Amino acid sequence: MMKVKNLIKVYNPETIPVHAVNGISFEIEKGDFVAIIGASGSGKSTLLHMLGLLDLPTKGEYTINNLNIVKLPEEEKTLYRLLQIGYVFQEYALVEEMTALGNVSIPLIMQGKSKKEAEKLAKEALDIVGLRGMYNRTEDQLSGGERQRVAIARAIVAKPKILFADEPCANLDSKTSEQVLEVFKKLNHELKLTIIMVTHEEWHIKYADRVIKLRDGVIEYDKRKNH
Amino acid sequence: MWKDVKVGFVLASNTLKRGNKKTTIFTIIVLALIFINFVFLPAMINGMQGIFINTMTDYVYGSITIEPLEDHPYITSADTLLKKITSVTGVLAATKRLGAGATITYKEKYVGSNIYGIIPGEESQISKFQEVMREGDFLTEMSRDEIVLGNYVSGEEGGPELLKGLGGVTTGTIVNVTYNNGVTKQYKVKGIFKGGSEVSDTVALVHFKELEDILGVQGQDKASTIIVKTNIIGIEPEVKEELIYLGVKEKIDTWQEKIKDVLKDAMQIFSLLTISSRVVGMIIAVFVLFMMIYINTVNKRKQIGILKAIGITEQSIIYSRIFMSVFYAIGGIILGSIILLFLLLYFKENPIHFYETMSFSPVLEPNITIQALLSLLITSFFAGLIPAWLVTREPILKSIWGR
Ligand SMILES: Nc1ncnc2c1ncn2[C@@H]1O[C@H](COP(=O)(O)OP(=O)(O)OP(=O)(O)O)[C@@H](O)[C@H]1O
Ligand SMILES: [Mg+2]
Repeated sequence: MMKVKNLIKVYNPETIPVHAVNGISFEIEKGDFVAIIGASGSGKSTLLHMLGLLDLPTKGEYTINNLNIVKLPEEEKTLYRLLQIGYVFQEYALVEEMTALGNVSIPLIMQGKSKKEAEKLAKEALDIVGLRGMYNRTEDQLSGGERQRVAIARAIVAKPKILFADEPCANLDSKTSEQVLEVFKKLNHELKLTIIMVTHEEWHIKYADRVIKLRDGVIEYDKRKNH
Repeated sequence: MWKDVKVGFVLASNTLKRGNKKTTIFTIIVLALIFINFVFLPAMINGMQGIFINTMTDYVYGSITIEPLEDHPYITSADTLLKKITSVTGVLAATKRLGAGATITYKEKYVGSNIYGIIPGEESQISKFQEVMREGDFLTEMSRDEIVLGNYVSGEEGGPELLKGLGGVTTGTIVNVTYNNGVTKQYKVKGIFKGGSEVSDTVALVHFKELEDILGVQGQDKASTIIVKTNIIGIEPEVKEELIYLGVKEKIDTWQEKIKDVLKDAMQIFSLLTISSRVVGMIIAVFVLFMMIYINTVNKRKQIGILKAIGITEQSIIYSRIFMSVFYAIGGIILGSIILLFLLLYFKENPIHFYETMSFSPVLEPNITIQALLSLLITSFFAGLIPAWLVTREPILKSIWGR
């Protein structure tokens, strides 16, 4: 359902061009759990930004269910991000003036849910990532790992169709990482959530069905694992 | 749309609740000061202007002055005219006066002055001469061969050199008056009044009958002016209209028209001051408010980028910034009004003195206050809208990471 063809991203094309993504093609089916790996600077985040509609490709095609998603007007992209996509940034990105609960419930309110209902669902999502009892903390009252988990809760709270996660476990200890990855696995199984996750850690890969390795902006290999 | 407003509201209230309280308080204080700056100086000028208006209306000119047409030395049938005038609604009282130029002499000193023949009983409703007697008494119905002098005519012990007048004559002194028609007469000074301004204090008063004799118009029902007092300030033009409608042929001037002749320069300076303080106040208000909220919004770029990334609409974000800045503006207006109230009360208790006799307190002008209110609100609206609009148009990643 998700199809990328010859995707290219060149930063600073006018001054010192950086070919961060240099012609990438693949197809991802609904319900796939894909791990993207590669050395630092290989273009993983750049690719994920484009897939998550946060940045425009310089060239190439990107369709979801045959819809040319790159060409959508800005408002529809926003709506798409709200309803279909969950995104976990490599650097946790919370709204600092909101509590954990506020951060997680705001997309639901944007979707039209009442504040009460939004907060109920947000609490559930925060419980899932192990933050029960920290609902009312603001960014400065949370550790790096806790912030990242708030960001994860926010990404999954609205039951998106696709989850993009850029090194979601980078700031987490191995136990919490495992919990988070189990949550991903569960959502992947139960809700057929498509997950595309960038990671560094070898052992994270076992949660994925498929591994795409990047090198210098191109795919070095693309392997489907057999369970 | 409704969702956008709702989310905007949630975002704004979060920012206000959890955002930097110091920034909020500081912003509101600055806005309060802007509001005061906008309103207070014009109020001062307004209060000061009030003195001049009082000076005009309280002594020589009244609310409305009626004078004979050109080429006519007197108003004729003055009493009939007076009856007509007092029947008009809005007219509190009216009286007739005779006037003549004269030179007043005492020993070697002399001053030129306008002498008015007045009816003491009626004047009390029209002018304040008798309220500002520096010494002696005001004229009575029985006053003949008696004169009351303005402070600048009598001169004052220790007063300014320029305004020495007769060098400090006192009550009981006999002065010589030579009228412009050549008649000379001696008067006993009955009292001296001090209204505090040149307009009031350069004249002298005698009884109406006294001047009738001097001018040779006894019993002819003539007057040089008729002074009208309205019961509230501001209705003078309507009363004038009504008088014209009732067939008054004489020259009718409201004090607003008179003041243009008498205090032309002063009034021009005042209106210039008012306008410039208004314009400056407005520019400062708009500029500072805009800058503060602009900087505030630009500092929130990262958050705005994150919000967009998770699917919050640009409209919601823009609404939230508008809500916030309007909130700041309302906060500033409320705080400003409270401070202003205290300032006004303070100055009411402690009026500002100038010269010796004049004092004033700032008087709020409703127009300017409304203008200040509206311009603060409108500016805050745009100060919320424009930077938010600019920032939300940025690419998401640029907002978040600044590149
Ligand atoms: N905004 C940008 N402007 C210019 N160059 C950029 C920009 N963002 C990334 N790059 C460059 O593009 C290349 C790919 O960056 P990217 O962030 O995608 O790598 P990554 O695989 O995510 O690395 P890491 O594992 O360290 O997160 C790098 O050489 C990086 O320096
Ligand atoms: Mg990266």
